[in-house]
Amino acid sequence: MTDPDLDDDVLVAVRDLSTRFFTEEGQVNAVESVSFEIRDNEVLGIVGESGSGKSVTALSIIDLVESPGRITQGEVWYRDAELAEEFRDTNASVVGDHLDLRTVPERVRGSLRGSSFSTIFQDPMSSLNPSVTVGEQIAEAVEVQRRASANPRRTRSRTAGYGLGQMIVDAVVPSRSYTSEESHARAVELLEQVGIPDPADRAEEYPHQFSGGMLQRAMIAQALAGEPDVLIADEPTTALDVTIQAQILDLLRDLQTEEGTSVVMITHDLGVIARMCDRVGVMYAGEIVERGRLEDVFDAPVHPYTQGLLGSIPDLEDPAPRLQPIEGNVPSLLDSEMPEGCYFADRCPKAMQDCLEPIAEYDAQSGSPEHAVQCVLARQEFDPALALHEDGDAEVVADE
Amino acid sequence: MSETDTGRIGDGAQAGTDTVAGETLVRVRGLEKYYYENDTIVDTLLGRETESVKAVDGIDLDIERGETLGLVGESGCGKSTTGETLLRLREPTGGTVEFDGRDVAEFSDTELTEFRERAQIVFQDPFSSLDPRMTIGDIVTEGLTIHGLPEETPPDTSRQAARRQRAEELLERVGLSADQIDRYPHEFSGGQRQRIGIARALALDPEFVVLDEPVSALDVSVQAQILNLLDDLQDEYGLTYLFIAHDLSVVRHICDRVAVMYLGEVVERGDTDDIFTAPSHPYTEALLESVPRADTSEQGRRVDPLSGDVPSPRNPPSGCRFRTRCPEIIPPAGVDTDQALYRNVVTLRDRLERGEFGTERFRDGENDDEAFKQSVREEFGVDGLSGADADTVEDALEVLANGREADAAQRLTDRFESVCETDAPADHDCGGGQIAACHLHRDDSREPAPDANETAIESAFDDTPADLSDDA
Amino acid sequence: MVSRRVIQNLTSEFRDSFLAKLGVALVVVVVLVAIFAPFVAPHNPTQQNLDASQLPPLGFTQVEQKTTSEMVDGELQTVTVNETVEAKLEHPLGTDGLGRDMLSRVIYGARTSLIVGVLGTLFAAFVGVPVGLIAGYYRGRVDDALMRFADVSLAFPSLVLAIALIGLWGRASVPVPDPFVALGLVSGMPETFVLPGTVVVVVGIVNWVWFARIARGEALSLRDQEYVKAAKALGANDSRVVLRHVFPNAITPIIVLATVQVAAIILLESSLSFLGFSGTTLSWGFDISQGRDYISSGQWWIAGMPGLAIMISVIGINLIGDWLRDALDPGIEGEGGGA
Repeated sequence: MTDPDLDDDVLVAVRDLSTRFFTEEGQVNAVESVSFEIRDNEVLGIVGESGSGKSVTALSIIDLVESPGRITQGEVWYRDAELAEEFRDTNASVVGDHLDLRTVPERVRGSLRGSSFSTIFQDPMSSLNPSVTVGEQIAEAVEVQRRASANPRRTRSRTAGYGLGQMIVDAVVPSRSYTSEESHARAVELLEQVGIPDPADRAEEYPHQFSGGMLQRAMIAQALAGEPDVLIADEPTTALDVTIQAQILDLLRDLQTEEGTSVVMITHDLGVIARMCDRVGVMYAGEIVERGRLEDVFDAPVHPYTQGLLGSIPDLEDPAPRLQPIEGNVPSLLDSEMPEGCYFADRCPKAMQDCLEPIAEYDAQSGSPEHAVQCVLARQEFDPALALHEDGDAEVVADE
Repeated sequence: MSETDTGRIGDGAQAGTDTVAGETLVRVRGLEKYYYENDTIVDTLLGRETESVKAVDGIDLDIERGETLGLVGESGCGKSTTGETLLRLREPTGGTVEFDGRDVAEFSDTELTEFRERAQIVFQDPFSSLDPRMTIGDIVTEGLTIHGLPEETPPDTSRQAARRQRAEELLERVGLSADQIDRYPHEFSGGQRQRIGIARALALDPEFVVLDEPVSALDVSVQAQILNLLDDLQDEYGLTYLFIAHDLSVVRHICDRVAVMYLGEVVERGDTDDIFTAPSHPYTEALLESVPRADTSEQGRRVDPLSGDVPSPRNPPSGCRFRTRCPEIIPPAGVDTDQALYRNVVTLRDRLERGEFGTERFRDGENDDEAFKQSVREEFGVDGLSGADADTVEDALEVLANGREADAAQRLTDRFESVCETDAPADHDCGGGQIAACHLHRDDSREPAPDANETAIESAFDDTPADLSDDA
Repeated sequence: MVSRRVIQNLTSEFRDSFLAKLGVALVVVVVLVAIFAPFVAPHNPTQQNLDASQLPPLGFTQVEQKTTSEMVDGELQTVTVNETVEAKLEHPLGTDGLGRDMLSRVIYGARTSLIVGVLGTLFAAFVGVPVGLIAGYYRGRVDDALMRFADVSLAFPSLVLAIALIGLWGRASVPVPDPFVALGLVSGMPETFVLPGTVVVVVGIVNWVWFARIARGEALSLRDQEYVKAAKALGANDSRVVLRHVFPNAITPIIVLATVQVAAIILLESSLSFLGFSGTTLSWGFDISQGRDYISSGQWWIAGMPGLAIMISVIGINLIGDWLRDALDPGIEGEGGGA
């Protein structure tokens, strides 16, 4: 057991986490030895392009990676004094109040979903059941948590009372509804909290009667039902128009401040990251190549990929005559095609000979203790004499 | 080497230098595209009323040769429909589109064929825009095949070979390699597919290209590559672009002029710099305000977002279509209150008008009228009015307490009805060619010189549905 | 038109699926047997031999009650003798009531069934696919009218419709000379086999609606694809768009439907033969109807053997349909979207 070296305000610490997909084409390294922390009452941003592994990272935290994917290594430390006490003398790894969720039984991890970790997805339309009213669906989420917390937790499943037998009884006896009056009342409260007008009436409506923005609010209400410690928002505003996006971002900010929930914000939009996040991790090809406080990463980026990403987006205030794109395409994550050294080397304008060797992570960049970078440039200046690509330009786009 | 092919590209370059700035290539006047629902045989038999969806409702645009006009708006505002209607991929239900001085709707079959060579389109979705069963060579040369081009080939070169060669050149030009010509679309990444789509559009050497959200499905790093490519191609071939997008930073970067659409209408148009630095329409302002900037100064910035959602184009609001969300709705003369309070009153009125007020919700058991009124006041935040305004609201609440919702609504309407509800705003010139359709600019209204007539016609037309919905 | 990846999908799905292999094996056997019937069949399927009638299949014995009348003491007495009928090696599947070899009849019956199945399906597709593509592509009133008509035809029982049409048009049966016999490669076999022409047309008419519906559904979704719009923007006319872009991309579900339809039409043909409407006397359905009378007296194989043959070929064809669906369905789209 390694010493995770965790501060008290660390709610979740991910260490060296790897997730692989074993597909017919071969092994896909979706998440590659990723480490980061989620602190109390903060918004952590994870930014990356499609296929960079940011969503899989989030799913790996809550252990929802679907077959053929599997978490192959790593630790997910979670701070819960009660749970830590319970597992202190077992095989599970426990350090202080933190315990490694990868070493506890699956049903314990399952019991934390909804109550400790909640998720909001990109597409609210497909995340809600079209044939059940919105209120009922939220009430159900509330009910599950109510029943679970009514059971003394210990090692019992928190979803007890939600088994098959119960569901059959509920279905056969029409007067028995699974959800109670209290849960319904709570659902309406939650809808009100997320800013849905006439919550009592809207609770009786079906998802198709809601607009995209309203549905995303309902999704957030559902995610709040279990009063989670961590809210994982996976591209929560990507499907929305910019004025609606502004509403949802404001809402998430407010909820985070009021409830003290920590939020993990996964997005490809650097603007959303800038508005929402306290700290940020930049993902490329399954790795977090740079992380730190927002100002570290945005104002003093060290990794050429971060620099490239920031240079790629047109500025709303200042129309630069020409953008500085990153040449080439997002790489395949097939294990057989991954290079030894830095994954970004073939697109990197500052790639040098050393980049062909495995790269270590260097922390404490630009005078900030939290600013960590996985790049040789953290240690040495770019030397054109050692450059991999002539004239500092990466290969032409056509070469995949 | 096919001389014809190089000749064609040369022609394009020639056209680029010949470009006369300020000459209008595409002129759109009062363009309408309505969709009708419930118009099947069965619906007719059942006597269902035909419903119209006003996807595009009377818009004016001028696209000048060699420029990039941006068409911005949120989803469902009709911007893509406009693009496709311009190219006659959809038939407009009203208005005119003139291309190079000729009415597109009047084209004969041969003229339409020629028009197809001169105007092209690039689509948003790099996956559905390429036929999965064709090689990229076939995709890029399809236009040439359809038009029987090139007309002449050098001796020893078959037409087939000449087309292939042209496709190879185009692929190289858009940044792909010519030896990929026999591959299928699924073997390419999103950015590469978008390059193929661009090559297809360029194959016929068009003058005008509609770019329908060409980069919004792409990753940011790839997006920048495509934007640069589009920029270069425009310079090289003297292309005129209509750039349809929802991403304002992209529009700022690439467009010379911008038109902002809301619910089927253009609410503001003008030079990009003017619109981005000094938006005249409250909607444009809110749109710009909402965009998150990728900058540390953005951290924790709260925007005052527009409330609510875009209304349905089936039954758009009367008067100014933006009024239901507008933060600067104009109170009638004599009403003296701040914007928030005024909006609350209007919200209360709208709820009453829609007949879904649900009076019983405020009737908590046997509470008396006073308590009832108080709970309505609290719910809608209409406390704090003064003078005649307060009296009217009290009056209306009294009527409401007696259960006469429509009456209460009427009383509120009589006092608080805004010009934004009754009149559709005409286009007002805000200086420097910046035109906004908003009542806020009535006073500095110097009527827009070039198309005063059209504007008059347009607003006259807009009044009709406004009256109808008031009756309803 | 078929890309490399489609073939890859087909082969990999085939490799992984036992049922696909089984289906292909069954169908290949049935097709080969049907084509080379004169070589495979041990006897002439129409040759009667009353001395060897009602023989059971190999491995079965049949106890037959023979009733003879004798004059005993001036009285007519009926004597019932239990006689055991043994199977004969030369008639492995037994014989029918007229002593015709069941195996040969089943082999020859495959010809009728397959020809009607395949031609009927082609006819149905030939009518249905263009109608469906046009309706779906143009939509509007044409579409409304066609699809309402299709709904009505679907609601009408297909067998009743088929019988009505045959009743109207008569049973046109076309005798086709058997090439193997004509070339003198085999002798002692029927010189012609009868193609039930009306049945082919009728089953086509009864089933075109399925093709129309599926083609329309595909055309409806494909017409809004951006590549279709792009082709129009390039100046492609409607026929080019439909033939070059819509039809090729709609072909997969149509092929899958076709396999299922072959099986369904074989069943329909059998029903018609069974009811005596097909005009041929050598088909599985006809034999079943002949064998019906014998079932109660214990000669189950006369109806059972052709029944088994129908079952095997229908299962085989449906398994191939499943294989095609699984291999082609993931679609060319969506691929390449990952990574």
